[in-house]
Amino acid sequence: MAVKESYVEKVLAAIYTSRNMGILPRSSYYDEHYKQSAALIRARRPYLIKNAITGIGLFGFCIGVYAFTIRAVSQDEFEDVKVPDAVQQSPRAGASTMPSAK
Amino acid sequence: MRVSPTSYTCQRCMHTLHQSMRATQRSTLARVTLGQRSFSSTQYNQSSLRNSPQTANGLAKGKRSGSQASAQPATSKNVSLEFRRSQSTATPKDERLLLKPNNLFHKFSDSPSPDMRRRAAFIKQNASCPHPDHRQTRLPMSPDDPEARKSTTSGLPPAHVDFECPDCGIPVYCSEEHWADDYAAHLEICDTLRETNEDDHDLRSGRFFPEFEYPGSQIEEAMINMTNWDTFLFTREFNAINHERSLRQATRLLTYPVTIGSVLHELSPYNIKKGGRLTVEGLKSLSALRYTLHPPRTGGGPDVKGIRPAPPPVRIFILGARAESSLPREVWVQLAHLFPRVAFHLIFIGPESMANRDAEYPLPERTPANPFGAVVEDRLTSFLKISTFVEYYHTLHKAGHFYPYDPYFDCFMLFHPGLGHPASSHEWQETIPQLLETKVPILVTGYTQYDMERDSDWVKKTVGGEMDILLEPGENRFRSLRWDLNDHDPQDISCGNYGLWAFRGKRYETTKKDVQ
Repeated sequence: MAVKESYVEKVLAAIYTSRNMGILPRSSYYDEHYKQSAALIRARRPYLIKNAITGIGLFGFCIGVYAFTIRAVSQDEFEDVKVPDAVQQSPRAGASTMPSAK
Repeated sequence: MRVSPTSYTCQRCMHTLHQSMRATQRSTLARVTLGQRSFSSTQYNQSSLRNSPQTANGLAKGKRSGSQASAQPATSKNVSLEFRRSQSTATPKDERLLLKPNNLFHKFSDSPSPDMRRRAAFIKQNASCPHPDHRQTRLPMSPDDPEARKSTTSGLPPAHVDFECPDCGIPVYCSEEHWADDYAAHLEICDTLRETNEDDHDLRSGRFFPEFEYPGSQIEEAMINMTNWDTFLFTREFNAINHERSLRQATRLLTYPVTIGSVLHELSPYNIKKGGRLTVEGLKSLSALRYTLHPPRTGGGPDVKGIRPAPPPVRIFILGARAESSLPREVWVQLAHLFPRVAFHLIFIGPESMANRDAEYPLPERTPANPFGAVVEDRLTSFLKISTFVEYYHTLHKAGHFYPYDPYFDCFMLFHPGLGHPASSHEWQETIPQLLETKVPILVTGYTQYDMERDSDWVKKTVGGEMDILLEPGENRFRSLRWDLNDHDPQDISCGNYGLWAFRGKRYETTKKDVQ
């Protein structure tokens, strides 16, 4: 089993070798475990803080819209809703005021 | 109109190459043959450092040539190409390395590399101990020069350096007592010297150098970010350079084309805002050049219907060229890749422009077609041609060889010319007024802040109000990140293209005269 696994790893390494561009191209800016390499982090540094603030701003706006909407429709007092008068026939317990499908 | 070289290989050839690649597990041969033509005969040697005047009253004649015999990345690249082919077997790789990555610090005289031992012997024979007790041997070049601390009359006779500092491994003082005594001054440069030591050993270690593989052209829409080296290398699709040492080795060569590109490109980091260093006159000059460097699309194509009139090439005159002219041509092609659809003509002019290019001798004969015996390399790519003239610029200017100069197409580039340096400023005396006459922008770099300021002060003093500053003197964003050692004086460390500024002959505009 161990021998087979190392063979599989070797084949995968050959497929994913960054210079082996014909099989599956891979960016050298990510290492074999798909973590960002040091070069990529250095290249992103001038924009990290600005991007983070923009991200927080956008997410905050989105969350704000959700929060406001849910708060606006989640009321428990329905005093302002006019309930029409009950029908003259004997109302059954639990009957709804909405006209039934029949 | 011009097809990029990497898109030129047909699909069938690529398929065949990959087949053979898979069969024999040679993973890199295809990439080598596809995009990059390596000119293995050109060896890059940096011999561009100044020679200090030998006596206090007589200045050394002519040239500012040091002999820092630093390594040849091209030859190590050839070595590494060879052992890449046998990379499939693990053990020979280790045996071929002269030095492992964790074993790069060696004292120069005990180094495993014979080249470094030779350098150690050279330094010991040529450099003098900077301790203030010795008498002065030459005029101080700058206020930080250790020679300035020495007295001219009294003191010990000057001694050659012998003692190698145990922390940096470079012979810096004549004896251990002097080293210990002057430790505070040495500490300022000890770390940088150690880094230089390790970098030099790294170049000779025989390892594989992925940082010397350069990308081809990219589509125009993929914009280049010129904020700093890292963003530039990322947006230009270089291989990721993760280690600082590799970054230093790579930028040492790339600084030459990228400095030019960073000023001329429309996305350049220098602007007219406060702190952007570009002046309004600079914007005018650069806009003229950018009009040519970023041409509108003409609908041209590779077939007969796609023939369009092509403008003349952009000429970049590199004056006082020394080591720059021997850079591998792949490095100079990077400049052309920054500007798609533009043809370039790089012209190296200077008495030392054939330095370290011994393989290309003898020079061509002087014929009426080639009156100055220039070495012309026009088979590099379809958009780059390099000519080398072993002449002073003022000779060529007086002959009118490059006339007419057009501010929309031409640019002068002076890499560390030493305009104000006492050993070389007399050579520029005649050339600078001629450059101003052409009204073409002149970009100048300098080894250090002091060097650059001395140059700009000299120009201001020589020509006075006849020039406009285009780019104010300051640090070059695309300077070499590696500090280089001057074998004649280990205390003099400099980095390529540290400072950058630009000027141009003053343009006088007509104004209306107030007629009452």
